[in-house]
Amino acid sequence: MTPEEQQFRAELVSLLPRLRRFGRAITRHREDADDLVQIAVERALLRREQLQPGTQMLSWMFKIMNNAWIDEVRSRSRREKIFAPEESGEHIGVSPMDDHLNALAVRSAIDRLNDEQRIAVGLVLVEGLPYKEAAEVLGVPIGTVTSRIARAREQLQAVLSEPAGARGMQAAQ
Amino acid sequence: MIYSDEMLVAYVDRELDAATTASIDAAIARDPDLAARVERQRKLAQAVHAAYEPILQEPMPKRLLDLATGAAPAAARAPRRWAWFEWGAMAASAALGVVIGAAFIGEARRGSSDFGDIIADRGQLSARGTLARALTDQLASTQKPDAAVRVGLTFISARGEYCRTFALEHGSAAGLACGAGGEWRVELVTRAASKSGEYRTAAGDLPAAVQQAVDGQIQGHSLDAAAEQAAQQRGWRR
Repeated sequence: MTPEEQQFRAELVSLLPRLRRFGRAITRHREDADDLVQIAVERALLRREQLQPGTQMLSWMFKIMNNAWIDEVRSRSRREKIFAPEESGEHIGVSPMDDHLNALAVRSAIDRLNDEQRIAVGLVLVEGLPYKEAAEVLGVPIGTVTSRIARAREQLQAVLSEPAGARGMQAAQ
Repeated sequence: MIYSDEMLVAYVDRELDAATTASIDAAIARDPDLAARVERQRKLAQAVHAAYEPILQEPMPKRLLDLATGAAPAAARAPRRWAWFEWGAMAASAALGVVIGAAFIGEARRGSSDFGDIIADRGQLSARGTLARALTDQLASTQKPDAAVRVGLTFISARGEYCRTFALEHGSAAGLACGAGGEWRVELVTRAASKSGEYRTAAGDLPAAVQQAVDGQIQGHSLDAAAEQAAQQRGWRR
């Protein structure tokens, strides 16, 4: 293994937790998210030379994941086959009760956004990318990101203000 | 001035230039309604970020780590893994249930535990007898080394239930059971090949099939000894 490859792999490893998190936001499913990360890592390793010096590896990986989701993983997503509202419990993480309920309500609200809005939310609100970087990842103008984020937030506010979601959103009201 | 939601969102996300940001800062100080709208957006951003934050702390699947570090060659394609509903479908298959149940019971008898530790019941496999008692009563931290059934990892599943891995005496078979209130549904049972003849509780020693089921189901970390005991004292109810 060359020193360049070693460095590349080390950086890749350090990014894995965030790739998994973004994957969860995109796919809404734990296994699909890890499959997506795996495919993206495989592609990244094959295309290592294409990463321009000075380019953020994280954004590059998000871009590969976004493309892989659109042209490969989405079609065989488990989520679509087994999705049912009562199964949204699969998003529960282990945490103190209030946070737990909040996280559940928030994630299931995000799950219900359309693909474009959900991925924009994943990049900007979950991963904290500036709009400009998110626009580069998605290959769209920055104004498109701005409007997707605004519309997504509008829907999230509406869903999370519903009586059913109220309990889970105490901290967000 | 009237601010659109789009602008306020961009303000909260720190996407506006300094002059516009300053003008909104000033407007918020004068206008409580505007301040409330901004606060709502800010709270939403925090809630979204917090909802996904715990994923960063989850154990990293070995397949991803091996792939990224180069410890294992890249697979041609992401492996098809058993999803929860597929395990469920397998468990619901009567024929399969009888086969694995019989194998398991055979081992259990040789290990002189009660007969019929797993029964096929209304389309699923349920723990009974020694196995059920061990799952309900035993703690990994205090169980005897020579217990007929040894429990391993305890964790909370994607369904929000408690799940526990178990191994039979002499490491002859191992599996995963999940449930609430002391009713244990056996999700998986498999023969455990064990070199030493002794089954250990460390995750690294779980049979691959059990480990895979755990990986697929675990949310967060497995419970530590204190959390395991607390869950047991609550009768495995959440």
